Parts: sequence; structure tokens; C-alpha cells
Amino acid sequence: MNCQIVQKHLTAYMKNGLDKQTHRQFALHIATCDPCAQQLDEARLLEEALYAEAASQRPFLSRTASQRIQQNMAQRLQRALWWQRTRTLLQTGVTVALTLFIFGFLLSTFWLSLQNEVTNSSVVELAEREVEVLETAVPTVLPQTLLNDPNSHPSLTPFDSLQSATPGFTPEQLSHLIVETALQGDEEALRNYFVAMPSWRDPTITIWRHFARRCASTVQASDLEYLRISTKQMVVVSVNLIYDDAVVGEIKLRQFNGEWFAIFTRPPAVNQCLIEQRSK
Amino acid sequence: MDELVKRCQQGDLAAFAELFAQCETRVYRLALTILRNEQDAEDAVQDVFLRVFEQINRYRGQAAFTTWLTTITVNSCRDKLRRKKVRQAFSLDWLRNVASQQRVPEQVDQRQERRKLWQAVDRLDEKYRLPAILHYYERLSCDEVAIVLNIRTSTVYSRLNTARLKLRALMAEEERVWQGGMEHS
Repeated sequence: MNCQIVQKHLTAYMKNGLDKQTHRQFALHIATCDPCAQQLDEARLLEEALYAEAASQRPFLSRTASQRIQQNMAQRLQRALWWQRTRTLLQTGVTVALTLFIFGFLLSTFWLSLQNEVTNSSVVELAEREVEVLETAVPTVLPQTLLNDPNSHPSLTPFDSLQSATPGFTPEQLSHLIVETALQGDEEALRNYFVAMPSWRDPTITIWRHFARRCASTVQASDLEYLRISTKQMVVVSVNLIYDDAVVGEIKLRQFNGEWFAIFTRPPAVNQCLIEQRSK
Repeated sequence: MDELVKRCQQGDLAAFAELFAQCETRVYRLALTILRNEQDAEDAVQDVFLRVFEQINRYRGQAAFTTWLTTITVNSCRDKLRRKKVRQAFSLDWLRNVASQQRVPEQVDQRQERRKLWQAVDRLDEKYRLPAILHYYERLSCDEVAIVLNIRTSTVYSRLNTARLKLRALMAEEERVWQGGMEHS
């Protein structure tokens, strides 16, 4: 123990902040060292003076000042409370908006995934049924589900399983072929060029058979007028058969899977007109 | 006091008013001692109680409420010292006081000596001044000072030791100046 250490830790010694052994060593040193004892006395006197002056200087807050502080605080507290309430409201609003947004987003995502699932399942179902397709425009084999309940798969049409009897033909070429085949009276070949459900196909063929029988000598394949109609959903080519400036026959053509098919023909009433003209 | 604090934590405004009435003088005295400016001390009282109002729920009772309150007061005063540089302004006040005392020498009694001693405390760096104020003026123990200033107790001892040595030097210097003034007059 030396004087330097004692002076450095004198306050700790005075405040009993040293461990017992060190405190005892300090006490022994101070008892035998006059300069350190003097330092300790001075330090105690200084502390007493500080304590005494602090005790004598006890300023108090005047009543006016206290009231002023309280008024100011009340105003600031009111502002703070108003802001706190506003902030809470804003936070609640933002939270609700975010929740709604997230909920809507999740719901729409779920809805879309559900839609995709339905579509995918239809495609899978269709793909799983390997439909044997003949060289004909008429759907000979339909998916079993469609036959049982035509409304169960609204996106599925009888034409989805078609193969064209005239692959690569343009609407004009197909129309020419139909008219020529009809004029030649080849009813079996004609049947292959028309797409329809069985209940529709037979009347269609009948119409063209009558047409061939009555107009064979006068109507040429060149007497055809073409009209292309485009809609958002499809492109339809309408082929009109003109005789003496009157439309006596009509074929509607549509494209499926990149190939053109005849889907519709003019009703018999027009053919009646043709018959009347011929009789004149 | 603990009961009052609990009521404040439950949002009882009447309890808060009572707490203010009980502690305002204590806070004001400490703020005035640190800031040495009545207006700043009043502002500090407002700040301290607003902070208490905002943060009362954070008080968990680890230390005495008065220690917690003192911590907030000291921090608030430190902020004010930093922001407004009150300390520099006050140093000028102190110099004016010393100058006036030099011009009109009074009878040197014990009380005047003690007042000079506290004026010397105000000339210390904040590092030594705050522990001195909290210990000698607020009568906080060295452990409590350590909690308030967020330092170790051994550091408090060390700073008080240094503060005492610096005070002795300042007082000796003051004595020389005063004696020189007397001889000149």
C-alpha cells in the first residue's frame, strides 16, 4: 500500500466501497502516514461543506410557476392524447385496409387456382380418353361424359375430336369441293364434308342432294360468293350460291384446330325459291 | 408512493396529478441545480413529467421510483444542456458573479466559502459535475448514482475523487485571485 493508491481510491475508502481486507490496509496506512491522514481530513471537510451548502440551498417551485407548468402540461398532454388517438385510428384503418387487401388477394388467387384446376381436370379427362378418330369430319366417337350429360362440360364441343377429311384446304377449296360433289351426286362423299351431330347431318345432306338433282345443269361451281365474318370468338366464312341474282344456297365454314369444316347450310325454303325459278 | 405509481400505470389522471404535486419540487431542485436557470428548470419539469406520463408503464420497480425519476430528470437536463448550450451561458453568469464579488469584497464568512464551493462545482465538466450534484446535493448513494448515470459504482468513486481534487484546485485558484484583488485595492 502506498500514498498514491490511497489518494486514488480515497473516496471509495470514505464511502466504504472497498473490500474488507483493502479497507483494513487503507486504515493501517492512513494511521501511520501523516500526508494521507491530512488528505482524508481535507476530503471530509470538503464533503461536509458540500453537504451543508446543498442543504442550505433548497430552492422551491413557486405556486405560480407550478400552476404554469401544470397548465402547459395539460395542453401538451391533450395534444399528445389527441395525436395518440389519431394515430390509433390511422393504424386501425391501415390495418383493416391491408387485411382486406390481403384477404381479397388470397381469395382471388384461390379462385383462380380453383378455375385452373377445373380446366386442367377437363383437359386431363379428355386426354385420358383416347378417342379413335376416323377420316371424317363427323365426330364418330364422343367422350362418354358428353354423351351422358352434354351440359357437364360446357367447354367441350363435339368438334374438339374432329379430323378434317380435307386437310390443308382453304374455305374456297372446300366450298368448291362441296358444290362439285353435290352436283356429281356423290352423297357418301358429301356426308364427310359436313360437321354436325347425327340429327343435323342427315337433313343437311338431304338439302344438297335435292340441290344436285335440280340444279346440276345450270349451277356452276364458279357461281359462289364468299363473305368472311370475323368476331372476337371466331372467324366464319359464309359461301353463297347465286342463281339468277338470288341466293339459293349457303354454306357456313368454321375453323377448328387449324382446319376448315362446313358446319351449316341454308334451310330448304331457299331451295324452294330455286325450284320456283326453274319452273318459270 | 408505490400505490400512487400503480394507479398512474392504470391511467388514473388524478393519481398522476398527485404524483406531480409530491415530486415537482424534487425534480425542480435537481433541474435547477444542473441547469442553473429557472426558466430552463421549469421547462425541464414539464419534460420530465411528460416523459413520466408516457413511460410510466415501463417502470417495473427494479429500483426505487425516486431513482427512476432522477434518471429521467438527469437525462432530460442533459438533453437540454446539449441542445441549448445552457452550460456556456451559465459559465458567463458565474464569471459575472465572481467579478461582482471581486469588485465589492464582502466579509468572508464560512457560508460564502461554501457558496463559492458550489460555484466551483458548476465549473466542473459534466462528467464530474453530475455525480457530485447527485451525491452531495441529491444525497443519492454511490450505487444509486451509478444506476442513474448508467455507470459502475467504482466509476462513481473515481469520478467523485477526481471532482474533489479538481474542486480543491479551483478553490485554491479562487483564493489566489481574491487575495490578489484585496492587495490591489
